[in-house]
Order: sequence, then structure tokens, then C-alpha cells
Amino acid sequence: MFGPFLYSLLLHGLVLLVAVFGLPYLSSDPEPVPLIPVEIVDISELTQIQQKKSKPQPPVEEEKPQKPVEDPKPQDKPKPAEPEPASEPEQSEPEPTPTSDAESLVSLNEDVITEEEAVVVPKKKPTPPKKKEEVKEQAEEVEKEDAPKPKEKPKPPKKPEKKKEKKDKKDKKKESNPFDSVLKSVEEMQKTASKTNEVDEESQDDPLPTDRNDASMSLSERDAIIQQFRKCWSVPAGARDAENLKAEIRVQMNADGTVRKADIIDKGRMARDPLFRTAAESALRAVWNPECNPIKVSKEKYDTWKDMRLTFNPKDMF
Amino acid sequence: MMKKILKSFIVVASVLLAYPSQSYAELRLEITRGNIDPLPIAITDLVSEHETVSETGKNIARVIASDLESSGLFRPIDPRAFIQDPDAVNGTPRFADWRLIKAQALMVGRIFESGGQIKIEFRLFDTFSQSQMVGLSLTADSASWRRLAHMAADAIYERITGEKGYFDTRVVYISESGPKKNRVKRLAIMDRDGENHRFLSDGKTLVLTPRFSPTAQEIVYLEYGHKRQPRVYLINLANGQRAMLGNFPGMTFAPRFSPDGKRVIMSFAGSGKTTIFEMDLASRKSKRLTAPVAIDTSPCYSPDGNQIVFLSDRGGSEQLYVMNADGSGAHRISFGQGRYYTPVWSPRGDLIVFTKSFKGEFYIGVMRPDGSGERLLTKGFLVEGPTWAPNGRVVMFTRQSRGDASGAGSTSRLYSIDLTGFNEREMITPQDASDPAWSPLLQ
Repeated sequence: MFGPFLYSLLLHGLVLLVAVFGLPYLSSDPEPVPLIPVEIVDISELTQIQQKKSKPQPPVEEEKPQKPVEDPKPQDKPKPAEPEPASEPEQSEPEPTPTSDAESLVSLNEDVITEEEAVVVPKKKPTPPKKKEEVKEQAEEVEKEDAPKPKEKPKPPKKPEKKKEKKDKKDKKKESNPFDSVLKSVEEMQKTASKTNEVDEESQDDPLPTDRNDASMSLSERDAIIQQFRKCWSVPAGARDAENLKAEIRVQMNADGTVRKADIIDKGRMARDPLFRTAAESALRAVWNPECNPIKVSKEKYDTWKDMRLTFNPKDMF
Repeated sequence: MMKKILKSFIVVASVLLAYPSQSYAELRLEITRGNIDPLPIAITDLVSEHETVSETGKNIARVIASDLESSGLFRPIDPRAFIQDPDAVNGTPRFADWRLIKAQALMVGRIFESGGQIKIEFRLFDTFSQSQMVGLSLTADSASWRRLAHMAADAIYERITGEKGYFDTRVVYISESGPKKNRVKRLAIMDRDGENHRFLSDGKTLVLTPRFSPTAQEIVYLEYGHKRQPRVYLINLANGQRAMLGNFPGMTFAPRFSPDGKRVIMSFAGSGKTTIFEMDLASRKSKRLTAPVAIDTSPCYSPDGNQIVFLSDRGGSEQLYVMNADGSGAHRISFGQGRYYTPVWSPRGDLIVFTKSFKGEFYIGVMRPDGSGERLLTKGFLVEGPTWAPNGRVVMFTRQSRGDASGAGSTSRLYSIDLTGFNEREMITPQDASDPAWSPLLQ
């Protein structure tokens, strides 16, 4: 009679022990799995950056054939497979990279490149001679992948990045030199507040959260449109409570980038509130201004930008 | 039952599917920065069938352009760049021509004359939307053609900025001449743009701190008259009559009108302390508002008349305080470094302008009525005595330059500056000037 009972008790106790202490680890320590940092990047973002880099030709050529180059090299598959996802984020990473570190690391890599080149080049069969350069770049990236953090970009793409950095700095300087905030103060007391504004500007420049339909418009494309309208928007800065005056307009675009129709969303408030009307009209003028019309945007993606809802919110200027 | 439910469900579903809802693939973007560039505007000459007023039509256009440009918010386009001539544009504006020269707004109009009166009709267009924004007709006697120009400029300003204009106003101030040791000070009044200037006193007595009445036809000011006793006087601009306000055994100064024009507040110095007094103009009854504990002076009403901002050293140094109009609830609002003087409440109600001195430098600054958001608009060897334009957008003040060691070569001029801290400009006065006071919009 007690036999089955004991048996059941034993099994239950065993289960309880396993639950509390876990199964015994019998095998040796497993080999450490090499960590491969992977960043999921939208393909369109990659293509947009190609379009942006109009000046330096080598990196544009390098990126496109990178994929076909890698295919006919089965031996190098594990290595190229690594830099491929890694190189993409390298291309798409935003400005703040330590350029001085990059230079030192690149020079280090260049020493190793020759070795790699010797290894890589003979293995390639159908590669035309011009692609040697691209392989070099790729080899650089391979080296970089092995190199410890921080990841570096190859030299030619760095130049446009640098230029972009300089440009952004200049833009910031242009915007910040005459007035950190649009409400001037002759003494230093306002400087810290406006510096925060500048920093905030970088993060807050990111547009509103996207809905699924906007997925094909990359961040840089959206930012490009914002920059263009920004140029034409004259903010009514001294108005009462100007920092809280925001206006939303709905815009319908033609396929050539010109505005077909633009409407204020809150028409009722236009009639009641003269300050809101001023803000709304300044937004409409920004959109209709011939200097910003037609907008420079990818025509192939017309479906994504043909209907826009623009919010003109001067919060970053105060 | 189930079948019924299912049937109705199918019907509803098919109906909903038959009319696909507008699933907008709407791209949402937020633009958080812009510029503060002035609006390019084209002001065309007012055309006329009468030769006699065609010159006036051009002059009016010029004054309108000058007014708008002085605000710093508009940039009148050079008439030489205009493609369409004024006659044609008064028929049918070719907006493409105006957009080509980058005009975002366009003013066109006509001028008529009859029986010593001038009438102007003008329209303001938005060149982008090609729609009319303002259409107005104004009449005045021929001698007052400048006022027509200022009123038109005010209408344009108001339509575009959403705030009332300030061009049809006057400025009363103290005109100064002579050497530093022997200054001659005369009360003077002029249009905001420096025109129509005239003197209101002869310079034999010392005059100070003139202030406009809200009805714009009277001025209060301080005069050191007979026996060197300072007294507050009232002068009627229409008929030039003068009256003395109060005959206190002591000194009264820094007078200001209440927003309804029925009372005047001023400081009264007696028995070693200075307190704030309010006087009813009709009954001439006066009431003390602050206790004689310190030096309380420079009082100024809020635009709704419910509060008073003033300067007091009751805390040990000159600071700004706000109290209720009956004298209760006084609390300090200025906490920055330095000393604060001459507070003036903006007619818009949202800011108080003040003079501040710190480490030997003077500043004109603004802060909110609760004391927050202090911003210094300008600084100098001596800047002081700010006054607001009636729309609360622009501040006028006195700027005195240093001169050499003996004070020679020092000048005192009036300047105006936008509350954003931009567009500081010198006002046109025939001689040195100080202590400006801005009138309300003329009616």
C-alpha cells in the first residue's frame, strides 16, 4: 500500500528539487559564441545616403557592387557576412564619431590591408580591375570588424561625413550666432537655457512617431523635407505667448513636388483668434513660398508624401 | 436567432467594406524651427485721377513703407523693382509678377480729394494665395494726410501680425539743449516718426517725467516751478490749459494715469519716507497706498487696473514689487543681481519693463509680472526710462552716451527696441532727448 505512495512522493520530490536547483550541468563550459552586433536598417535609408553623397564617387560605387562582389566568394563568406550588416550601420550612423580615433585606426588598418588584399584578391574570379579599390575598402571594413570598438568607417565615406558634420555645425552656428533663442538677452543668463534648446533641437528634430504607412520614408528623407520648409517659415516671434502658437496644416502635393492644396486644420480658430490666424498664415506662406516650392524629394515615393500633415511648432526657438 | 445575427453581421460587414474608409497614408512632419525674417511687402503708390493729390498719394505710400519697415517685421521692396505699374495693379494685380520679385504681400490703393478732405481706399493682398486680406477706406482733412498713412500702416500691421499697430501715435518727451551744467529742458511732443514736432513749455522751468493720459489728450508731468517746489501738473493738449494736481506739503513726483484715466498715482516724499499716493481726478481726493517704511516710488498700474508695480527699497536695495490696486498684498518680484528701477507694465499685460543697474552698467529688461523670464534687451553707459508702445511690442527709452572725462560730448537720445531684443533704432528728435512717454493709438 505504501509502495506506490512512496514512489509518487519520490518523483514529486525529484521534480521539486529540479525546480528549485535546476538540472545538473554535466558537460564542460560551452564555447563562447562570438557576438555579432547586428543593426536592422531600412534599405531606403541606405539608398538615400547614396543620393546625398553626390561629391565622392568611390564610396557610391563601392556600396553598390559590394553585394555582388561578395557573392562569388564562398570561402570568405563568414567574414564578408559579418561586415555586411556592420558596414551598413557604419554608413548610416549619424555624425558624432570620434574622427581622430578613426584616423588612427584607419592608418593601423591600412598596414594590415595589404596582407588582406593579398589574401582576398586572388580568390575573386569575375572581379574587374576597378573593383580592387572596393575590395580594399571592404577589406578595411573586415579589419575594422575585428578591431575593437569603436567601429570605424572607411576613409572616403568619412570625408562626406566630415563635410556633413561641418555643414551641420555651420548650420547650427548660423542659427545660434545671431540668436540662441529667438528672444534675445544681452547677458549670459539665457545662454544655458538656449544651449539646452540646441541640444533638444537635435533630438526633437525627429518627426512625430510614424504610423505604419510612413515606413518607407526614411528619417533622412523626412528631415530633408522639414529642412526645406524651415527655410521659408517666418515665425511670429514677438507675439504674445508665441512659443505656444502652433499651427497644423494639411497639404496635398503634385507629383512634381509643388503644392496643390494647403489648408489649415482648425479653421474655426482662425476666425476667432487673430494670433492663431497669424501663426496659421505664416505656416501657409512657408508652404506656398516659391523658394520652397517645389520641394526636393524622391519622386518615386510620391505615394508616401502626396498627403502631408505639417505641424509648425516654434518650441525650439525659445 | 443565430442566423439573424449572422445575416446582419454579413450585411454590416459588406456595407463597411463597400465603402473603404479613407486610410490616409498621411505623412506627418513637425517643423520646430524657422526664421524671423521680415515679411517682404510691396507698397504701391496710391493712384489718383486728380493731379493735386497724386504727390500726396506717393507720399502716403512712402510713409506707410517707412512705418512698416521701422517695426523690423516688414521689408518693403524697392519700388524700382516693381514690374506692374500702380495704375495697372489697381485694375487687376498680376500676382505672378509680384511673386517674381519675392513680395509676399501687396498693397494697392487710390486717393481722392474733395472739399479739403482726402480719402484713401486701399487693399492688401496675399500674393501666394492671391486673396485679399484687407480692404479699407479712410478719410481725413488734407493737412492730416500723415495720419491716414499711419492708420493704413496700422491696419496692415494688425492684419499680418494679429496685434494692434502703433504707428498712429505720438511721443511726449523732454527735449534737452545747452551745456551739461546749464541744461535747458523743455516739454515736447511729436509723431512717432519724428514729424509734427512742437514744444509745450518754454524751458524756463525744469520739467520731468511726462506721461500720457489714456485718452491721449492730456499729459501729467513734474515741474519745478515757483520757489523750486516740484509739483505734478496736468496739461490739456487740445487747448493748452494747465492745472496743478494736488498741493501737498512735500514733494510729489513720478505721476501716472490709471488705465481708465480717472485716477493718477504718484510718489509723495515727506518726513523722510516716500510713499505711493492715488488721487481721484474728479474729486481731487487722495489716498495713501503704501506704508511709510521705506522709499516707494515709480508706481505703474497694470492694464486692467487691478495691480500696481512699483519700486521699493524696503528689502534693503531697490527692487520691484507688485501690489493690489488698494495697496494690499505687496510682494517682491525682482530677484536678479543688481538694482531695479522704473517699472512699467506692458499694455499687453504680459510683461513689465524696467531699468536695471549692475556693476556700473545699465540695462533695459523685461520680466513677467510674476518675476520670471527676466531678459535684458539692451545695455549701455546709461539707459533708462522705458515706455511701452500701446500694443506692448516695442519699448522706447533714453540712451545717454558717456562723453569724455568732463562729460562733454555726451549725448542723450531716444531709442526704440522690439521686445524680442532686436531692431534697436534711434528716434528722430531735433535736439537731445530724454524721458519719453508713448501715447495710446490716436482716435
